[in-house]
Amino acid sequence: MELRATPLWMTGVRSEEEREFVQVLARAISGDVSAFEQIVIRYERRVLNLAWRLLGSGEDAKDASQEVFMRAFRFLHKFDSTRPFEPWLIRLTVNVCRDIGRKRTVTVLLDVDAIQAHSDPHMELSSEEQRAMLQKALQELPQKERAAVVLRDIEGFSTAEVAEILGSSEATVRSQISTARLKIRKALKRRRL
Amino acid sequence: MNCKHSEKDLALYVEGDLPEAKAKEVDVHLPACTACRQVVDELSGSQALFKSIRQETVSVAELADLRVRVMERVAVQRPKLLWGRWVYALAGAAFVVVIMVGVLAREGHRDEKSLNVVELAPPPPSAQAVVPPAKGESQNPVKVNVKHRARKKVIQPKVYAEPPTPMMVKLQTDDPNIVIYWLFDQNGGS
Repeated sequence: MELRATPLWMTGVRSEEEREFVQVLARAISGDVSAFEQIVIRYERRVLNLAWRLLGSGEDAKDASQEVFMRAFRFLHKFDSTRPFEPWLIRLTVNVCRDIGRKRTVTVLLDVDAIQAHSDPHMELSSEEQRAMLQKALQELPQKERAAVVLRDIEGFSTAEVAEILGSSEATVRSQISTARLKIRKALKRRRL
Repeated sequence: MNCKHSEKDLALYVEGDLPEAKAKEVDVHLPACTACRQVVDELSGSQALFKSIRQETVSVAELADLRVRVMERVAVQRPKLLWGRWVYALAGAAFVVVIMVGVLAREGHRDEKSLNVVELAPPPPSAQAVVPPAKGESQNPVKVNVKHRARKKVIQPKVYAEPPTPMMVKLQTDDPNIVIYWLFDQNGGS
């Protein structure tokens, strides 16, 4: 079993780094572009990775991340600076990815079924093939289950944090992640991983 | 699965998401149940693989590309945003000014009306006034509530409140040193 520490933004305690960030945030809110760039640098990896995992496509993820930061820039003056910034940005990312996911056609990263057809079941799959199958299993999940399981199992948020980010109850999140884990297990078993 | 523990519970158990009491029950149950143990093993394996996605991360070049694109768009957007906020502020201020002007104009109009009333109203009446009786009526004086009469006066046209201006006719005789002025009031009396 994995033990997870409660992050600072859930406890309300602020480290020195957090206090500095609050100042950067205040400058960005007042229209300082260089302060906003610091925010982008701080969160770009997290946002782009999350978008990529939720959308399954590098190009869509880049478009989504751009949109996330542009929305953040536009609505930063409405952000309540007494609240933690990260969940706000992560929620923005999930919402943008959901919007893009609704509009786009299904993206297939690799022809996973073709790989399976040509593979020897006794031969170990290459890491590239493994990656493609995991991504396919993830993309087959309904959007809400995918968001919950990615935030919990890949991004490492606790159930309570995921519930806050997604705006749902912990019970709902637990139900979503357990269903998603069972589906992933089934999908990987089917592909003999 | 015929156990009291559902697969959904086991899917939570493998990642420590099951409540403590339930997790202890599963701990006790697992050594005795092959089916549940198998599910837990499979789930642990699939979860380990699934979480390997964590290790895959975007490249530094992709991050730099994203940052450049974002900051370019921010540079374009910023003046629009600032102008947009000013427009809203100015529109708000203009609206307030229009409302204030409207209110002041209305108040001014009211004041003008109330001045007319003061001009037309009779001097402050006593509680009751005595009106002489008309011909054919009883010789006893009639008491009239003055308030009613005052209200009637307010709606009278302004011309009745002003004193009549006398008319003047100037007659020039043959002698330029003699001029006759004839003054008479507008009621016809001279």
